Amino acid sequence: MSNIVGIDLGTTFSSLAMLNAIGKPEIVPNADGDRLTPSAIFFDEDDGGVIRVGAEALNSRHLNAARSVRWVKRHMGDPDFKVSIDGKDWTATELSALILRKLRQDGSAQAGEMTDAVISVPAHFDEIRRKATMDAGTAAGLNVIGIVNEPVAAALCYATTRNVTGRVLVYDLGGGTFDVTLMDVKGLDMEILCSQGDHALGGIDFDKTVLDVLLKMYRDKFNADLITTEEERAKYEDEAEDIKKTLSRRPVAKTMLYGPAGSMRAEVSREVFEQGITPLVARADMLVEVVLEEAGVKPSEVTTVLLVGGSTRTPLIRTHLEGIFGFPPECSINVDECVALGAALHAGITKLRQNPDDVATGIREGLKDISLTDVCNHSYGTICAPIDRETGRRVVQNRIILKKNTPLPCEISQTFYTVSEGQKRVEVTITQGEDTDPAYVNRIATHSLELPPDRPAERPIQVTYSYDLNQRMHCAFKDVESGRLLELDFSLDENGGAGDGAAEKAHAELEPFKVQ
Amino acid sequence: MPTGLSQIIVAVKGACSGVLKRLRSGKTPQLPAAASARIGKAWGHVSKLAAGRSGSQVPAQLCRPLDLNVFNCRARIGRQPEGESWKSVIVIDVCGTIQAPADGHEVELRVTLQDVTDAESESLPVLNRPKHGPLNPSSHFSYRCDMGRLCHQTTLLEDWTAVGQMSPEWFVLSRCGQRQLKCATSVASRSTGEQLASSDCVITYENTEPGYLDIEDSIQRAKTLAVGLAFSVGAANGHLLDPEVNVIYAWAKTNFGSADASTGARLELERALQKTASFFRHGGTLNVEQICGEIVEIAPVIGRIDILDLCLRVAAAKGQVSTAELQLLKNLSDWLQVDRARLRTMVEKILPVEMHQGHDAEMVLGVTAEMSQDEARVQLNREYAKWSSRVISTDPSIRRQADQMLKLLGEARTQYVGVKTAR
Repeated sequence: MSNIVGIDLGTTFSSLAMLNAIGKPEIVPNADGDRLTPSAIFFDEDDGGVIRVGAEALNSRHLNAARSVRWVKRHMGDPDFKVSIDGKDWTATELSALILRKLRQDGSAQAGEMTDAVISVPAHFDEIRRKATMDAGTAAGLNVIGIVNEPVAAALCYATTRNVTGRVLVYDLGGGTFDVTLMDVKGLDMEILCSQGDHALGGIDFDKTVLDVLLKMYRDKFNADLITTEEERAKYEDEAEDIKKTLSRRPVAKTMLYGPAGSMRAEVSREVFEQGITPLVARADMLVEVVLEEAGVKPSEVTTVLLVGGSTRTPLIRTHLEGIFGFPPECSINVDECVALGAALHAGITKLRQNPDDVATGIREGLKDISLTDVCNHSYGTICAPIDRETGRRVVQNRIILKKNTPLPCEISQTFYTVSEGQKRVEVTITQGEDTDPAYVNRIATHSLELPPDRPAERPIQVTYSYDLNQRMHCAFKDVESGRLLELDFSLDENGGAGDGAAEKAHAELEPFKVQ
Repeated sequence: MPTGLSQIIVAVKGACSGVLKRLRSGKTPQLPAAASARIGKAWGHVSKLAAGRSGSQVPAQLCRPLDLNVFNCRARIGRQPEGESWKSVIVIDVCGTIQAPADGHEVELRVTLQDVTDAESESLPVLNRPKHGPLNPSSHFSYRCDMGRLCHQTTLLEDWTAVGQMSPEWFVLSRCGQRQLKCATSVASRSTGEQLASSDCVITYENTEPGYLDIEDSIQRAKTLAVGLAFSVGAANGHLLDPEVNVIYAWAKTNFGSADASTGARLELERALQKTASFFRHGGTLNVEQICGEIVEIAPVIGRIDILDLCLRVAAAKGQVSTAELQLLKNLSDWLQVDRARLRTMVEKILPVEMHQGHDAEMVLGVTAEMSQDEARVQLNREYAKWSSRVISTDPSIRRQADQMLKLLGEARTQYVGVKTAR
């Protein structure tokens, strides 16, 4: 039986955990003995076949920024994102695969072969990004048995290591993304109520604020730009990150700025930093309020605020949350490791559900009491053309059928009507997104349902969407009168893992590269 | 009004005269799709007004001497109860002889209407009123109803007998006011469709609703005024630039340039547009509020939305929009009576925030100075929920816009609501 693994593929750091013999998750350190691996990649200058991942890659950025990559996760699933190195265009999926391969390689060397894994993603990741993450796992040689939302993983870790009962708000502010999840926890029973995220808010935005302060200080003194090359930018980005971390512990952080016009000593106070990040905290507040409002929960009804992600170490975040909820947030679990630990637990639960005979008895016993009710991560709908009441004109519209945060498993039906007399077919589009305006939603599939000939307009078409515990979506479009049916299935396993063969191809392409 | 603008009116009339000619010649009128939509909507309004009205007229045929050896028909205005009031209907009476193929033959009544007010040779069609959506110019009104079984092969109706009634809610006339309607009435076999007897009559009908040609005139007038407004938006910052003029030209050509328009009419339109552009380039201005007032009088909301859409596209044409232009657009939406929420939705798509030179919190985020802190908080949360889901769009331009909006929302939240801490 192979190891059961959970991976936190983070924007700035990644980590890997596995279930031990009694079903408890443990972090597996990397080859350097570190429990966290920087999500940084450096393509060796001397040997094109060698790719460095982790701390060494992070340090090499200062020497050759053009051959280094960070914060890939923000570009996951973006077809326009490419990094060109030695004539090869690397996609976000391939780059992420390198990080995952490094984790798998190091983990296997420490604790034996690792193949079956669950990878965590931000709760707000859409199907495209989830699929891209699974592809990265497959390309890294993993058998990705599932995907778990980061806040859910963190809550799993929290609830299995503490005696928790009540309404828990998971505040997950990572390096590049921010998620808020509200859940009811009663011992090992966990029910997700609502989950929302901000794809573009995280620690790197805090770092940018510090960097802006440094740039301004230098400009004010020398009337010149501090940064003139990409290497300098990389150096000061890392410097800004260090200052941010220092300011979590001390009221002032000091550094030297060496620019083209001269050098200077710079001091950044926590007050200046907090002033700079106030709009970001305000933005995070909106997400918290949106979640509470959507769940119909008042701040006073939340019993625990669980902090997850390194950026929650920022003192302003903690005091601010205390200001909102009236009690200090829970920071007794390791904010950097809990997602990987929870992902390993989720991997165990998934394996138990999918293939219980393949799970060791000790692990089975350790996980048997855990119960998790998840929700639909996004809204799914279809394109229709109702008549606008105000204008009398037909308006092409996205109509949501399966609403975000509906508890799983679920099944919802809606009836639509044909538009014209003698209509021969209905073009059915499955969308993902919250907007009624089709321009703002992602179209995940388009098919055609053929209709019987010579019928009047306004014949009913019943549309049914269902979503199961394995995140498999089933869509049925039925012409009620004739009984004609179009059924479509979407599953991350089929689309992501091995369905289109792209991930296996990427795996073969990456195989010759040495990841160190 | 600049001479160019009045020339546009003339040019537009030229370009649109084809529609009228086709209608008069009995061919299918080719109304632009958007115009048809507006007509449909306008009819939705007028039909509501018409409901419940009643009237009574004595048709001229009442005094005509009758020949009972032939089939005769007459039409008169009757009244039919509707709830607690009455509504007018056109009642068809027939008398005289109907010759059937055999005893016990089943027949039906068929009536078609033609507007012959201006002379029979220039008759205009009466159109079906659609239940939903736009008016279809090729869907001519006709009425059918079952007359039952004729007992004998030859049937003689000695007295006027009411055999059908048509509600004005079923059809649309060409013009408002007193109209002469020719009712072509026939009795046909239900089994073969063969016409067994036929007769015509004319009724004077007082149409209280705007006709489809009235609406078309209003639409054309509104479009002409829209051109004036669009030029005013383009010139709002003191300079009318080529990209702005090009948007207006393209719009005018699409909206006025009917396929039937002659080359001369098209050239005339071109010249008129050039003159109007020149008027604005030389510092000319229009009373925009007054123009909007006239548009509100004649155009339904969908037409006004289209006009505002044009103005927004003109403002977007040069890639940036000044604070003065944004203010004018807000005023336009007020004067055109298009609500601010709709304006904001249109601005989001046509004038994304990256085009704005200054950030107008109301236009971009929907918060106003009058809002309480809590109202502002709710509004900002609503916007945040919207844009945070758009930030993962597959369209890079939407992602960019969403990123920018989220930054603005964070700043606005700091400004309007603040960040509370436990310290």
